[in-house]
Amino acid sequence: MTLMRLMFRNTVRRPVRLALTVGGLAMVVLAFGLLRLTLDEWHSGVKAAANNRLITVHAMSDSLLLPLSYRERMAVVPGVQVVHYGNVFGVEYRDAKESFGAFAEHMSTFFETYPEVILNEGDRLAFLKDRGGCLIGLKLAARFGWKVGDVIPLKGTTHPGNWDLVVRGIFRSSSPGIMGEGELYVHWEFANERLRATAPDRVDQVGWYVTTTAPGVNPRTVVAAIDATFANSFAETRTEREQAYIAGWVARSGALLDALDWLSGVMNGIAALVLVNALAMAVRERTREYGVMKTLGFQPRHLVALVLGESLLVALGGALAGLGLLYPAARLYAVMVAGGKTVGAYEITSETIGMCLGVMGLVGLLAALWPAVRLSRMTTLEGLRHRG
Amino acid sequence: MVDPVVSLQKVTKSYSRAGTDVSVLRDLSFDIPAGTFLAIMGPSGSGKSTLLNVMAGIDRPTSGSVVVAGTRLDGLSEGEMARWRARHIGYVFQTYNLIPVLTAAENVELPLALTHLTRRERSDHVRTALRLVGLGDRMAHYPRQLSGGQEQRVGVARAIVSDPTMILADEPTGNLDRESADDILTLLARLNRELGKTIVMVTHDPRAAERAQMIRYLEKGVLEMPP
Repeated sequence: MTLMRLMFRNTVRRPVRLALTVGGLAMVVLAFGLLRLTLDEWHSGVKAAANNRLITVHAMSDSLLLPLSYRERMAVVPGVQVVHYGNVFGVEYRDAKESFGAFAEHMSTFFETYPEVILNEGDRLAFLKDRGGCLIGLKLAARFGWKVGDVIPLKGTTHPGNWDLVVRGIFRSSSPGIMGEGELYVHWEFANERLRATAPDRVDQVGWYVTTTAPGVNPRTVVAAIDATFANSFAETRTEREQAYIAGWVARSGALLDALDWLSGVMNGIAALVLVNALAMAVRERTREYGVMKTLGFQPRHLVALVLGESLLVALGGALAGLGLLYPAARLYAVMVAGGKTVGAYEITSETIGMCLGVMGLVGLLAALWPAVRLSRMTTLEGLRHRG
Repeated sequence: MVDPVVSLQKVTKSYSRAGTDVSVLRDLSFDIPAGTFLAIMGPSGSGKSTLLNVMAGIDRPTSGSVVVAGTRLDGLSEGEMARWRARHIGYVFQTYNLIPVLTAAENVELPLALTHLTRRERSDHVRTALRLVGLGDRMAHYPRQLSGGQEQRVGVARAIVSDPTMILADEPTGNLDRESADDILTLLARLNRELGKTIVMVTHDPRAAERAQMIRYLEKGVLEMPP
């Protein structure tokens, strides 16, 4: 008990130094946590992907379009249950900074294909009846203060012209990695109609098809069958399971993600150095006291336990303070950094908390290593003769 | 004849400084009977503190044998030495060396953390030791709230709380005013007289040495009888 008390009081002995060290560690935990949130966000789509959804895009590039006529041919491929399609619907609100993810989707199959969309029945029916209406996610609605019935004046980028859309429903998502609540959806047919006047060369073309497979069907056979259907055509297709398709997107950002991973490691290194520095100073100042303790009969392991405990306490303090800051920061981050373009959940999971605590625990252990080695090698006489 | 609690045979201690061997203790042989209050005097650099440290197992002789409380110290490892010290030695420092973040009671309790005593037993021991040194009412005070003399009395309480075989005091009055020094010396004399503690005190103050039963002079590493 006396040793525990001593460990605790040693930890809080220099309040200013402790506050600065804990503050420094908290900043590192905060930055580390935000990086993890970003990485988690990137991977969330992969985790949340549906097993029975297949994505079909142009074989040469995701940005090339496919003819609408493929829809009928896909529908007869054995194992295909529903064929859905959509396009990017590029718009901005008041200026380019106020843009967000928007999509033109074939609404007859949209809700069936994406059961992740949570919308009350009245709004759903109202939206299906109004071809000039739109659906917006809860976060997008909160971002601009939009509500059902509002007319949103938008400026088209991929779809030229001004678009005054009536909000017919605000949806929530059961899986933000797939269906983000920061997005807007319009009727594909409505967007396509307007293209006849503004960009006729892009009429009746779609950016992607999403097919769902019937229960009991092996999606791999359907993948192969769809691509075989359009083999040697002027627009060959590349079909993948949704998970593989999203994973491909993530992999294409691999260098960036690797850099973020490295950055996480560097941050933990910085945290360890901050703590090593503070601990080394503290141990140096108390060397004589440790010498006195050895004179009283304490063994090196007792002194190592004192230093290790102090290091872990400070690291834990930094982790808790950092996690405390991470919650409000994550909310702010989702709005400021994501900018609503692909607003994700940015939710702090138990995995992120565990990782922050675990990493700080490791930092605490590593930081104590050098001072502990020094103390265990120090003779009693060296300790007593130390002049701090 | 009382059995010696300390027995030194042909003990030498030398340091190498800037490539030169400096002899601090030269071929010392003497016994200290149990229950003795011995003062070792000598000028600065005569080797007094080194001799005390060798008896406490804090320093090792270059050659010779040191037997204290029936244990030959020169063969012990650092860890064994610490365990032995916890059982047999109470050490009083010139500069008190209390842990500043612990109260008087907690400082005194520190050596008991190495024992198997219960919390209540530890508390009883601490209270007894602090009352014995006249600080029963200062248990919750931190070192910064005590005078130098009081701090040293806490140091003495810490040295006796685990009931060691002997008390070694290195210039225990060196940092104290006359009155506080007298208090500490009276206390040490009482511990020797009433509790039969063997005490070895290093001092350069003749008035302090007078309170001991026996005085020895250390001059250039050689122990001499009083003139």
